[in-house]
Amino acid sequence: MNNPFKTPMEVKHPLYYWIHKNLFSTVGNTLLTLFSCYLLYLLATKSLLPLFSWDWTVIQANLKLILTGSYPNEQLWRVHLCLWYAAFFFGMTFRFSRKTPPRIMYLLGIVLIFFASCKFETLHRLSMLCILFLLFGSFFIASKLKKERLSLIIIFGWILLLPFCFGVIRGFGGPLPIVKTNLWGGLLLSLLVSLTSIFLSLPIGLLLALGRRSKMKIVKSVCIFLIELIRGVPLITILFIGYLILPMALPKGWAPSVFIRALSGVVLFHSAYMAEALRGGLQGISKTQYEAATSLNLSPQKTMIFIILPQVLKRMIPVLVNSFTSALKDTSLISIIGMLDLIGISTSIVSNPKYLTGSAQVLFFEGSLYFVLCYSISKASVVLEKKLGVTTKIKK
Amino acid sequence: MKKRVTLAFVLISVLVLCLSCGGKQESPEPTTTSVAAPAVAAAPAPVVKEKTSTLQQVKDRGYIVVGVNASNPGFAYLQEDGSYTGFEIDLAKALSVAVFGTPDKLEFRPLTSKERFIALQSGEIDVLIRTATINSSRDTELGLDFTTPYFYDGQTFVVRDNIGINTMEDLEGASIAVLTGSTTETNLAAIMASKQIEYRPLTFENLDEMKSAFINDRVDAVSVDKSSAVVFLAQFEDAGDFKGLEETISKEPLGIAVRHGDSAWKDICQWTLFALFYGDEHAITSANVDEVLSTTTSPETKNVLGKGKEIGAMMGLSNDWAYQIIKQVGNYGEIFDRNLGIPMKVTRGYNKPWNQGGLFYANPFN
Amino acid sequence: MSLTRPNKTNIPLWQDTHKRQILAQFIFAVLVIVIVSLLYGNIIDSLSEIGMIPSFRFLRMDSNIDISESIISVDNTSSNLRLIVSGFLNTISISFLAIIFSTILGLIIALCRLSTNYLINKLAVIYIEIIRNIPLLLLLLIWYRAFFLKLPGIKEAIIFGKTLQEGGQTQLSFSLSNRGISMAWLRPSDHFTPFLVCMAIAFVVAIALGIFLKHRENHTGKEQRIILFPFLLFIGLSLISYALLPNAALQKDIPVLGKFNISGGLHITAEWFSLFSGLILYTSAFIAEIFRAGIQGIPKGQIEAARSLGLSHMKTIRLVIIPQAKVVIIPPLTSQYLGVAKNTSLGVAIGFPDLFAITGTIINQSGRALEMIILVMAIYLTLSLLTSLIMNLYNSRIQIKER
Repeated sequence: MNNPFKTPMEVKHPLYYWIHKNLFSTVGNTLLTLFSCYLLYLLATKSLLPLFSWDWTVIQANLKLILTGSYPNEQLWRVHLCLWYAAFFFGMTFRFSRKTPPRIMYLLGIVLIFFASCKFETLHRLSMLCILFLLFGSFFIASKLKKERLSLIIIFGWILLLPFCFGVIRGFGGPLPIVKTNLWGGLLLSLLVSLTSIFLSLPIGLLLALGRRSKMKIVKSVCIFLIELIRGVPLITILFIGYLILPMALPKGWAPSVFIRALSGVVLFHSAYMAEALRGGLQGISKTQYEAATSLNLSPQKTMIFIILPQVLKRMIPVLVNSFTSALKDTSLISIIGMLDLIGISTSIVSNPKYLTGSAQVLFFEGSLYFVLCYSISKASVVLEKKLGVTTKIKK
Repeated sequence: MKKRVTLAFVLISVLVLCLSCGGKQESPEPTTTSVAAPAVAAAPAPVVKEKTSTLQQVKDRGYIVVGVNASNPGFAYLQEDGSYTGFEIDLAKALSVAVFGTPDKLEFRPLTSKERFIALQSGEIDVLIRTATINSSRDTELGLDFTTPYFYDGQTFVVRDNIGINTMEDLEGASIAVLTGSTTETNLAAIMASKQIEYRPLTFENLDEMKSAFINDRVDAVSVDKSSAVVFLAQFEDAGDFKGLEETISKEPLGIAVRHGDSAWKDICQWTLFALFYGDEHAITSANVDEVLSTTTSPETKNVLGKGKEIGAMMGLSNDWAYQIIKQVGNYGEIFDRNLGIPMKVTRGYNKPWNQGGLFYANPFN
Repeated sequence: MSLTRPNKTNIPLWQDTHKRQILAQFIFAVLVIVIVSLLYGNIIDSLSEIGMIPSFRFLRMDSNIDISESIISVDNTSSNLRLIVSGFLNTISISFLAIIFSTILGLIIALCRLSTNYLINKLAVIYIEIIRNIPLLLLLLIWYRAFFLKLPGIKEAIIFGKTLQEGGQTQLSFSLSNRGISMAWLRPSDHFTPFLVCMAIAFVVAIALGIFLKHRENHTGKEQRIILFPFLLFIGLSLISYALLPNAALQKDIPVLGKFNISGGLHITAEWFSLFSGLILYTSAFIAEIFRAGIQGIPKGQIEAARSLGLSHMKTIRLVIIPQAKVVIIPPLTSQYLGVAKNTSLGVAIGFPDLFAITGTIINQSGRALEMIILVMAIYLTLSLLTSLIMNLYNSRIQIKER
């Protein structure tokens, strides 16, 4: 079969040959094929077909609730604005690494078209199409830019993503009236919490990682204690600390909102994991780098800031993107402490007397939302890893 | 090129570091718990407690923060557009009308049963209207004050109709589901132990989960409050298959909870309820309140509706507060029918004014 | 950093790296202590305000609640401590079993993923991608509601071995319903102790045989079946002793169908099983990827070299692939195992009384949030540290020693 020359069989009936080679080459293989055909049959009849017979009105009617929670209707354009922003840079990022749009972009496009065809107000549907347009548009705009400028724009675009989204969605008075965090919900809340946790856990994790590598004994032991403590317990206990203990630990009147408390738990948790990832990254930097910096008479601080961290951070980008998916998945736990995130809101939806029996549909829909998001992000991280992995090989 | 990329990354790292310090003005807390960020974690100085009344705080703020349930059918739940509705939400609206004259000066905080009292103690919410059962330990130990009950409830069982269960004793050996973190859980355990009935408990975090378990015959009975039982039954078109037992195993008076020691604020909550009860007692509804106001001869009704004694002013409210409540939200009966009576077919039971055989007794407005 | 530190007097304090470090550490330590004490002080303040000064005395008090399943017997007069222990046992048992089974399933899926069969390969890919991109919490909820609760009810249960007793009772050897699985089981009878002693003796003999075989292998260089023979010996001795003992050490316990539930026998509740199988489904997808990476990471030349040395297919796997793959696999596998123990805490969402669910309930009923969280964190931490200790020991043993 490893014969580089094609057999006459293969030339004559390529399809038949392929089937034979991949499905029925041996007895065992044939059995496996039959078994998997049976599995597929089960899957189709037992789980896929029933989906079509379900009553999906609960999703149609509550789509706004699932996506944005109680966010005021007249302010929804702000959410769209953030989506436009993200879509623009998403498209650009893919251009940065590839010549043709990757499959994920088409997947996202299909999802967007699906949403655009849902029961929304016309404006929102138009906005969905706008996002689609921006996604692919920016991909082609990016091809007009020089590579270096493009990478700068992308990097700053992504760094500013969180402040931008927070500023726009929360607002600060004037033309953007403040929307309280207790009105945030659904997918919006899940995304914001996980995004914030990634952005904040990077600096905190960096401090922890540096602390762990520090020569100062006290700093080192405190950092090790914190990291191991947090990594040793389930996220939900950390969330409970933020949720039940934090209000007691702060002076009266200082108690932050549930949103902040849940967020601080998630951030703390991810910081510890980020610290370990960064520590790995720091260890990956060759010793010669330090020696070279020292021989240039750079102080240890300067060495760290100007030589080591830029290299580590650049390598960390795919890890960061990937940890966004795990943050997004972990964020689902905030529903256990009563936040109305994507999963938490499902309980509220099925409390509405009109939709008391729709919980399976809601859960299934949320599952597919999670899947589309996490899958596309993890694929994006693979794309980035391939791209960055090639350019950042540091010779030892 | 390499230089520029490096420069970019230096800038990022600096920016990212700054982000942790000043990126988010409204949330200095996430870093406070992390001792590894000493630069950020300013030591919280103990704040000198100023005793401003809750009413003053609420008025300064411009809205009332109410702790509610986000998923209790009939009592409080989210609508499709993300707004809250339900029986308890209407009580909160009445409170808002009393203080501000309009029913929309409210901010709802969805709370779990674990968190509800802590949220009140820590000052996160002004008032808790979340099916909180009044009992002595909560009233005395938890630093709370309760108003008069706004709903008289009692715990019972929902079972399948066709398997011949009529009393609790028939439940010997059955699987019974109960919500965790509530008084129902302890009540059930206590009553079953005292009657020496063997059963298999199954505890759930939320109602939806428990509902699924019951519909799918995972459990033989669920132990819930009567109001929930009725709501439970109303949820299914084939509700004939299920029934609630007659027995009531506990008293569950639900009250509005406020922080201990602020009697002025408690008075407002209390008398808002009494105003609702009074309207129910004397058949003053949102439809006929204007007519009653112009024709009434009863001095007490005049007091309530703001034509007699200045009761409102004494509480720090406008004088026609009760009139506005009934005008804008309706009396107790209207609220009940709108949220529970008509859509859920909950019967009034004890939740009627005393002159119609119920337990609600509005203290005199004099 | 200079290599030799010049005379101290020449350097101002702020430029002396060593002293600066000490100073920085001092300030850091003071800051940490101040922050921790302030936070702790506040907690104590606000707790004493409502009259709940932290103490662990509540652990002795009655719990007042019943829990749905427990290995040790509990009721509403058991102390809170006993409840916590029972939750801990639930967590331990479920995570231990889940770890074993998810490793097996993960290996199978990894093999499917590496298979040349197109269909089975793609099925494995779909499985892995779907599971890895859905939160475990959601997976458990869907799994519990859409699968386990949809199984037939107790009256229509799937039943094997139904027999009618004289007393009108129905005995079932095996039944599956949405209440869970019930099956006939062997329980120790009153005469169990002598059998236990015999088993212990058999175990010791088996171990001795194992040591002897190992010794012989080291000496002769001939391969011995170190695991198989002692195992067979142990089983054989145990069976013989069981047959020879005058009274049966074990008795049959057959489930009986009651009015509502099945009693007796071994009963596995639907919640236990859905958490268990949900954890397996979730973890196995991650483990499969770890195995795949480990196996694919082995250079092809190794396998070719083994084949050219005349090693059989099985021997290639056993002697060449596995020892090398193990080194790559163990560290990420450790963190997956740790994850399983932590993920059992999600049982709270589907009504399984694990350690965390019970903690939540006790917090609710007693209001002792601080004490309970400290306790539960300590327990989880110990568990994690123990697991990683064991795995690290194993890891350091199997590391390939470069010569």
